Amino acid sequence: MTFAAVFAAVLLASAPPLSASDSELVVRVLDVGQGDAILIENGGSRVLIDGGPERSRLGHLLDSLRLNDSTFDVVILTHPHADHLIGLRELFQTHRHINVRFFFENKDPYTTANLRHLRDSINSRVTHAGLVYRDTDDPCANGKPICTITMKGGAKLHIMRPFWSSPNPPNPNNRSVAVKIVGPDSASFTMWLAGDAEQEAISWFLGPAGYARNPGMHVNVLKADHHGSCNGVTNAYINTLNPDVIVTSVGAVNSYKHMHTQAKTLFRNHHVPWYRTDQNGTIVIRSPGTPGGGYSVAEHGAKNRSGPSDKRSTQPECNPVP
Amino acid sequence: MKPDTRKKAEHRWVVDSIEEFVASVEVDGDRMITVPQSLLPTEAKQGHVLRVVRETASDGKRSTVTIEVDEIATREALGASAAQTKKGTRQANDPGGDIAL
Repeated sequence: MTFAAVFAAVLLASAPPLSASDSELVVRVLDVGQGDAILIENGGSRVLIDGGPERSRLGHLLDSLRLNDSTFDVVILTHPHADHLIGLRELFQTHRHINVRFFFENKDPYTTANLRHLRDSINSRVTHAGLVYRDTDDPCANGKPICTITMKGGAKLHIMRPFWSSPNPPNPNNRSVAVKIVGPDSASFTMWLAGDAEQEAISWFLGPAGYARNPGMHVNVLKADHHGSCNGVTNAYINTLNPDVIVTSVGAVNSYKHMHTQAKTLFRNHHVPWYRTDQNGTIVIRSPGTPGGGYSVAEHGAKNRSGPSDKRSTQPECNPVP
Repeated sequence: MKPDTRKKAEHRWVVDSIEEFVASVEVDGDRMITVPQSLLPTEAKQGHVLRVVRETASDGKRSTVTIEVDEIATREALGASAAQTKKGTRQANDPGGDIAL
């Protein structure tokens, strides 16, 4: 054994073990209406993936969860559509005194003023507060396609380079970044989230990107892509992910017919139950992070519910879903 | 809110997304609305800036709304957005690599 290995072993032996509360991983799929916002906490570290469609709605959640005057270690914008983006502008409101350390997004040019305002805020924090602003196309800023973030309680997030194609660039949904959450006890809890990725990006995750091998796509929980749209799922995707449960962030009244009948049918055919924010409210998933501790989903109502906007989609890629 | 009684009004719409024949549109750089895709020009796509002009007859009983893809404004907005992020340039204070919080 080398000196370095002995030194490391002594350090490990002398370090106090993580208590159950330190290692607990809590994932909240926030009820923000028709959009996405997922809050992840572990050992005092805090990560937010997307901010939902309204500043006021995320603002109320920041207030109710007592997250003003706090630090968000990592914020990830999966892709620059308004229903994922606008709420994030609230994080940068001066009166909230919220510190953001790392911000990830794809930095694609886009034309909306809401995105321009958000990027103005990010750039200002880069200049004045040392925020590190990373491009999801180079998530580790070193050319590697996958970047790993280790939270203080031992949970990990793998951030994966999104799909790209040329000469015709993908639509913004297919530029969504995929994130895999791995609990402190990786055998107890894993979760896959890929924003609004549609079937073209999903095929790329499963094929050329090689994400099924590294970091691996077999998970306990799937956040349904694209609010339960049938264009955000395939049979191969569910076969590979093989989730125990699916959580869907969706607004009760939406114009897009989400959740689509075809998506629910596919979930049923694979015997995977789902929860949804419009019917179940904020969905809280906890894993103690201790060996064999498993995970739990706080129940606010029944599984497999339908919502008032659910309808069959006429999109060609859904008839049938491949 | 009082109704807009101007005889002619112009708005800037940006198509944020289109799905299931519904477009999500950013109006005048602020609020979001959804409109049927069938109201938009057939060539309107995600990311397009639209020039929307409403002209109201003198008796106030008829309005004509013209919606057109503003290709110049779209190009300008994309150029400004690209300049804002400087995609492909690494931040000086970022050492790169995995992150331990």
